[in-house]
Amino acid sequence: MNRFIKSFLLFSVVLVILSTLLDKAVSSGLRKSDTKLFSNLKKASQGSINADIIINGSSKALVQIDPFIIDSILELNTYNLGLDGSPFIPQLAQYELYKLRNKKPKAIIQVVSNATLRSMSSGFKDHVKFAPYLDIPRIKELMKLTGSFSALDYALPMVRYLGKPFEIIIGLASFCNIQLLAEEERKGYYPKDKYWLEGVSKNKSIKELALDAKNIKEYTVLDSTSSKNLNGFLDQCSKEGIIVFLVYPPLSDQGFHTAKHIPYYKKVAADNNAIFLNYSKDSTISYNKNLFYNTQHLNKNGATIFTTKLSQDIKSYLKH
Amino acid sequence: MLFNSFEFVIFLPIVFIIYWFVAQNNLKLQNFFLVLASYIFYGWWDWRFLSLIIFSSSVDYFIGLSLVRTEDQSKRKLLLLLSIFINLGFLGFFKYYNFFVESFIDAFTLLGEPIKASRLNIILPVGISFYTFQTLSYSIDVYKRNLKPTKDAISFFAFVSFFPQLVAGPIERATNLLPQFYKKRTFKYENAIDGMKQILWGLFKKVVIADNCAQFANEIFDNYADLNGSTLILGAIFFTFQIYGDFSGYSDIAIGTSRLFGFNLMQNFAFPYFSRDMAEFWRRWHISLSTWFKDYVYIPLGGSRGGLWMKIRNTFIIFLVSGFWHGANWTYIIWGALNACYFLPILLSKKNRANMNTVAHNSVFPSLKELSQIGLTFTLTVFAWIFFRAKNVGEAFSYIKGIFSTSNFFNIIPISWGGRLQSDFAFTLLSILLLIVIEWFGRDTQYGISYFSKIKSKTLRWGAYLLLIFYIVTFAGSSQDFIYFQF
Repeated sequence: MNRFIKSFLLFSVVLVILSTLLDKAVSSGLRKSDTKLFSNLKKASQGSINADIIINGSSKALVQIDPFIIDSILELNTYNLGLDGSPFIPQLAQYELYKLRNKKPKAIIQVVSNATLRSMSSGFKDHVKFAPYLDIPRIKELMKLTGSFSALDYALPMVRYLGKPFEIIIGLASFCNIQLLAEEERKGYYPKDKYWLEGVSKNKSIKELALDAKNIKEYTVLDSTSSKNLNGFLDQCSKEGIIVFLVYPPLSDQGFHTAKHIPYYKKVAADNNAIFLNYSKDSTISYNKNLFYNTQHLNKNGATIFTTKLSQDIKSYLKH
Repeated sequence: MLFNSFEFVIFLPIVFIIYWFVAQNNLKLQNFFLVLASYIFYGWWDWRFLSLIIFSSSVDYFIGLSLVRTEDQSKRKLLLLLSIFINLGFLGFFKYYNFFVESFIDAFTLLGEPIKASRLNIILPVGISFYTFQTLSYSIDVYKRNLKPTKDAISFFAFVSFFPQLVAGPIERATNLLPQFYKKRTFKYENAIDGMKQILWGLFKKVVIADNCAQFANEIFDNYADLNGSTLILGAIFFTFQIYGDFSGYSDIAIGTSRLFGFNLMQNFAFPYFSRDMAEFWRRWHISLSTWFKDYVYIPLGGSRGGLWMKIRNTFIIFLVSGFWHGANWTYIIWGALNACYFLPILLSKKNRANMNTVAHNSVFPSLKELSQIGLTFTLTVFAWIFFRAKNVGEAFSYIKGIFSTSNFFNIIPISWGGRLQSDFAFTLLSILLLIVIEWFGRDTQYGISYFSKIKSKTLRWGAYLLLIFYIVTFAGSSQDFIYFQF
């Protein structure tokens, strides 16, 4: 028995040491990776963004607000930190990472929508992008609120990368200074050059449609932790003299019924010296289906029109 | 509690330490502790169904004792029938009630006399088919006087509920496992290390092979109507490896865990996909169930000793019953019938024992003949698995029809699969290749990486195990339940 225990312990020690080294290499590599999934966080953590205007939000920021247009109209340096499929807390985590190493922005365009303050019970998309940063206390604190990582992810090396071959390979390659799938510089903006596909939901059964409705309902319930964090964020920005624009982007007229929490955002903005800009039912954009690729998202053309309009509106506020 | 869960990672060392350090000098205490640990293991899923195991164990324990007390053959027969009735009664109720009700409704509707009958919302207790067969084997063996009944209730309850193999086998015979509870177990370093290695290999098969293949098998079977023939073939192959990785992986973990506690369970899988004919396949696939049916159904029916008709009848009975054992669905019955059709020509031509040794024995690579035999057997197996996996018979036939559809046949990877799914697809194929290569070189042993212990350099040996662990960490699929839990 003694021999078995000795062998087992020795093997475990070797395993833990190697896992720790591998974890460090992967994490360090991912922090340097220019792959789409990690590039924004890399730039934020390395202090290479230093923007005057930060665009924060989910896919509704990522694909709909063009920083290059804002730059040309406002003659400022803008960067889009949009996180696909993410509600507010991960967006906040990314901004906190930005704050650590970059200059304070003059303004933040915080895109909000029906799911911004949703419950975190189902986690969020691509949460692994935060895995290399779990040793930063504030990031760890916010990630714990999302429930996307288990206790073992924080405690044991490599567990956070369990079953993530893509990330492990990208991380190890990047650690060896080999950039795989590197993204060109696009200031975090990923427009969708596509058009509305007719009849996508036509083949859905009544049961599937009911499930969709149930999911939308659950997806859009206001979560108290998320709203508390939004309030805290707005309050902090106000104290730091950062102008925050809470922007509700345009919806297609077919998606008007999905607009949620508008009075709430209006009130939160008013309470925290932020400016609420509501484009959800914009008369020039919402009724033109050619500007959308689904009820919730503008395509590239739509994004150009919307960003131009948004920039003009912001300009007047920034002048004051 | 799942073998691939965090709970089990905590549970196993605790049980191991108490078993070997606290209860080591007291056999009864050790056995009692195993019963307790097994009930916790099972109750973790649903404690209410512990009553079923306790009841089933009690029935067979007392029937065993009663069988030895009487020489009256009719009484003995009655006692055996009581055991069979109670055990199969439970199984029938929990597993097959709704199937029979639905089949009756369908049959009467087909005859133009629709009837109303209510289905019950029954939860299928995990592992019921496994422990029921295990405890039944005890009663039958005692009845046949192949085994002396035990008076040691704790040993018997431990035998029925032994946690490593409780929910998905191997279905142990009382003649093999029960006597191991009577003897004092001594810890053997070699056995424990071997057990750990077998657990590791089982984890690889479950977590890497089965869970990754499941992603694609599910994706393809769920959307088969929109996919082309080559993708559907791929879906069936993915399921073929999923079910092998899932079930043989479970068996490896079960056998390895048992070895940590000083028990030897029977080998349940012996590299079945390297079989050269279906008779060999069935000697290598789910061995504990195949031999159970052979010993308790096929041979009592006359086996292959009788005339042509009896051989055909017995072959179909054993395969149909085996199919039905897997679940209350016509798909399993057709799967069984299909395997009977595969097996029968081999039996009738008396070639069922043609391939008793390991393929390519004493050589590294198979001959061309062996390779084509393996290929044919594998193809037949893949085809049969389509019925096993499909939700219903109609879906299975539609799936097969889809395979033979010629439109866009060679476009294997659907356009709808994004970049991430495509890279996962490549990783999964790589893992399957790794499985085949490792198992090929280990085909003469008990499990895939058993021969790693022949590597003389400790550094290299440990390096190989560490590499395998890191491979599992890297390529682990998203966690899925073990398929055989539903049986």
